[in-house]
Amino acid sequence: MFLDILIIVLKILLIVIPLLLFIAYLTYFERKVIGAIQLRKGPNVVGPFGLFQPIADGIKLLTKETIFPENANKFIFIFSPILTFTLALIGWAVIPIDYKIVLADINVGVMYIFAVSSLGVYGIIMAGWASNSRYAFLGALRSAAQMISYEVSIGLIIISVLITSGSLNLTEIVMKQQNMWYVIPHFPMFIIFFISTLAETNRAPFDLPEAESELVAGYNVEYSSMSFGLFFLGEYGNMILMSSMSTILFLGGWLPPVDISFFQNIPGFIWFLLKVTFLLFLFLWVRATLPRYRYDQLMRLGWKVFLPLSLAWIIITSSVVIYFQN
Amino acid sequence: MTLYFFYFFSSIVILSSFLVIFVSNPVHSVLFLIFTFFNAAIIFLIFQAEFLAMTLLIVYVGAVAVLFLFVVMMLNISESIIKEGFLRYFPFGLLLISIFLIELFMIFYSDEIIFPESGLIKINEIMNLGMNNTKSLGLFLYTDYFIIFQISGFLLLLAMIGAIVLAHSDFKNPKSISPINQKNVDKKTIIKLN
Repeated sequence: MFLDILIIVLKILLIVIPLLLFIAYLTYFERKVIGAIQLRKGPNVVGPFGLFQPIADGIKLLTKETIFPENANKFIFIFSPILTFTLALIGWAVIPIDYKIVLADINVGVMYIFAVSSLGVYGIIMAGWASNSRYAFLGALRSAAQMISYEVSIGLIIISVLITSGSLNLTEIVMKQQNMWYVIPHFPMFIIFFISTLAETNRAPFDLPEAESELVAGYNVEYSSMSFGLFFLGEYGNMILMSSMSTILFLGGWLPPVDISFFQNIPGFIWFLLKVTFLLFLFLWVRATLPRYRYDQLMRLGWKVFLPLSLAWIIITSSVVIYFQN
Repeated sequence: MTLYFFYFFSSIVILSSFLVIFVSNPVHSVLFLIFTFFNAAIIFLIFQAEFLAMTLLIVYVGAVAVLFLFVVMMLNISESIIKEGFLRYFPFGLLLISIFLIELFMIFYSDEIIFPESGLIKINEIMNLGMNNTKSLGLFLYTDYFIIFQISGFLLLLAMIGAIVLAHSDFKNPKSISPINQKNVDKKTIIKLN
């Protein structure tokens, strides 16, 4: 009993600590990539190649003063960044990074991830409300509307993947892709899924919640110090979670791209990491390239373009699956 | 062990659903409602109904309650107005509660509704075959309860169409502008010189 709990705690630490390091170095990666795209050097002062920059940033955030706005609802104000950060971490309980290397191999893994990502709205909307500030509230409303809208198309795309795989278990979904990654038959949906994950994680070009030119910084204006840091970590954690989700659903998880012995000697989690990093690079590339969407255009894209397309794709997929079954 | 967990979470559910009613701030009461939903999902998980638990989280917590929270935050209801209506709506609420209670008793005291004899698919047999409950739920819904399932789907569709019609009363003068019309704007139609 006691030993079991100890083993589980150790496993959780084995997932969470590398994840936090990954998040920290994702910020470094982002600044380097955007710097390279904009013909700058990026961080290069702290440590060799600026490698200690994330640690310096973390220490800076930790030592700052936490400020509570006047008439803010204190409990919710403190609780919402914690919620955002926790939700970004607990999704990893079901993500298989290699064959059978997963904390909980549950039957409804896909639904679990979807539920966790749909709970993420609360952290943001509660933060916006509790701050007792117009900017924060407007940012939170925008963010919540955006996340709900794009969740619909994400859900429908997941359904069409589930119809092809016939299972809700993430490990089984990956194992079904041994012959062909789902990115090939579902290519249009992969594109839509990627764009929807951009909107779901509030990243550019859909970073309207924190449109600094109009809303100062959106739902987290009033946050400082570590409470801001938790939002920041939560956002980047969500980016990694959604990227690994699309890796599992479309890019064949830990499977090598070609079935030859040289590729198979490389351990699976390295393939997984490479694919996730590639998707994250796409996130950053998009951020450095595209201007921000206008709000009504964002809503139109979600409801009038992605929703009908993904709904039609479910019908096409299920027709094809039924046709080939008989 | 499981039983203690059940008692723990069900008492949280009962407590937080009381708080939904008695807390003075409407936003807090919606947050307690969300907490109630969440704990109800955990109770489903305790009884190994993982599909139902996740559906509850996705549908109620992830979508419906967010809209609740939205509306309550936007309306900015003052606390005194809520207190005033309590005695007036109390008999009506009592009526609703008694109807729900009678319905619950009817369901739990008859095996007919939970385990129908006439049904083609026996839920016990499916569970004994070792299928996961997502599959058995699907088999159950799409055979014995197929018509009821479809009718409830159509009810939701009807509600959706009704909501759209109500919200979209002003067809001639819509507030949104289509991007195609915006792109086709040229100098001659937009700029006027007097």
